[in-house]
Amino acid sequence: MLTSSVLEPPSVRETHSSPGGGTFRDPEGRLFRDGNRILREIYPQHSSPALAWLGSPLAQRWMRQRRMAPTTILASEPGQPALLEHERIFFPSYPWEWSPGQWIEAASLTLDLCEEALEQGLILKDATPLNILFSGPRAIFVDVLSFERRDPKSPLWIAYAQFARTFLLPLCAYVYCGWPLSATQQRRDGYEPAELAPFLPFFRRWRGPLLSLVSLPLLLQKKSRLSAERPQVSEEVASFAVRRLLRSTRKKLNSLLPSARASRWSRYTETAWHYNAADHEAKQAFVRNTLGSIRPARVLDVGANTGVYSRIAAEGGADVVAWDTDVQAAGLNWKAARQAGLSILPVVADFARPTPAVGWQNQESASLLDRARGQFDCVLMLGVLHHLLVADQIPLAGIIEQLGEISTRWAIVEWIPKGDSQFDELCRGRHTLYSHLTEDYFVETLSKRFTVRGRDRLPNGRTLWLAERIG
Amino acid sequence: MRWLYAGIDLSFTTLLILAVLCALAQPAHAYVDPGSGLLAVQIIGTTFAGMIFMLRRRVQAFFRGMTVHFGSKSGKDAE
Repeated sequence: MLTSSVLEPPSVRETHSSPGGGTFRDPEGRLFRDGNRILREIYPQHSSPALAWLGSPLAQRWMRQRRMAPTTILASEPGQPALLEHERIFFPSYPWEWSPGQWIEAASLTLDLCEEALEQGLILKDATPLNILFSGPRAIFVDVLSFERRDPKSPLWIAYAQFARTFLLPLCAYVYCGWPLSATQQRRDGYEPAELAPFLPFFRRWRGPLLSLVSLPLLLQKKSRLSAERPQVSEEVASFAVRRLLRSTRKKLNSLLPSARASRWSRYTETAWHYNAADHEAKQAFVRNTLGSIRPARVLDVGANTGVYSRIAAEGGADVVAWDTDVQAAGLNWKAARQAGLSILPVVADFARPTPAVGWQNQESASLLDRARGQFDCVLMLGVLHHLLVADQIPLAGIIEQLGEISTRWAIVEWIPKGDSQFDELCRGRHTLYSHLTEDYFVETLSKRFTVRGRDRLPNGRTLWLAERIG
Repeated sequence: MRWLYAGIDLSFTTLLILAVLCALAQPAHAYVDPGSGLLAVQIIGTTFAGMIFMLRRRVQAFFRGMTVHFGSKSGKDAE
């Protein structure tokens, strides 16, 4: 009979207070920022295995393939803390801002790396979405010290429970209960089977992935009296069992691939009746030509929907971050970017209600605005301004102020005049409240932070503006 | 007498309800070791994997034995 202790991966144990600042949960070291640089200190007693791992052919290959964050060793004196520098990933995003497809991508990468590490006698000791960032549409593993030498006689993958709680159970909650993945912002350690069970359809709980992820763990959780010993078996059996576990985990993950759902915005571009072909063509031509002349390196597309304009910007060579509140639309944008290999990072985010900072002292995960401020040389706000003004009731001056904080230079903005069918629909008869929103007022407000450099009127009466930040 | 029967009936019903409630009582999860159930499932899966491994080995050994046996026999016939 196999017995084992309930072991948690080391990084979730709080053993260091990290007096120098930065992360504090990993007993082996800490990650911190120095200006624009991302540095990692490894404590002396842990530095030599970590450095050996980083120098191994497997780690080097993953870094070349950009599946693991490229890392340089800055200092490695014996008996002293080692210092590493990680390549900075442009615009870090968090799991609570990802679409379901991105969650699956991040989980697949985690399993891929764990499986490949087995070949070298290593295993992943941490398996949480917080170890992944997205570089454009591709997932990249950033917690480079999460690999350890595997006990060849242990048939267990100790991080499996963490993988199930932080990847699989949130996906189960999304697929079977409709709980938003954004709710994981307050669930750093994911969900326990017992938290999900009461909300799952009873018969469904006894089939498919839910049987082994929720129902059986729940039954065994009550009765488990596990001893402190790790099970030990022959090396062949141990290796067979771990590989089999990884295969079955991948099967569970694939069964949680959510089917594409239609949402309010996911077919907006195809069904927008207030735009005809000529309007679409004129708008795309203006954006393409403008981006072609200003040639921005980093573009933020606010209200990106399924990414028509994000793709125009990325095709012009820019690194694009695309914000949209609609999970399905962001998911379609990510899928298209992934297939086309374009540098677009779709994020489920709201300009009007930006993702807050969370974690200990509100400093573990930065807010959306802290990450965006001064990071983009061009911001696109196409077909979104009237939503912010009317639906979210944000004052125009506030929006322009925020735009000036995020963009270091350019803004391309679409102005939707009163009388536009979409504007009127959002007003719902409260036209007097918005009577001040004229094009002259828009230009006057915009001119406080930006200089107008270009303008185009679409056949449907909407106007497109190219503005350059003052100062 | 009727009130006595009614009282007994009521007590029986109360006990029955209490028994059903006890049977359906949810465990307190606040102090359950996190992930212990998932680990227990992994251990069961591992035990199962071990059994498959041993069974597969025996089947392979059996067929290998058959091959050696018949292989050498056919070899002799050929001589």
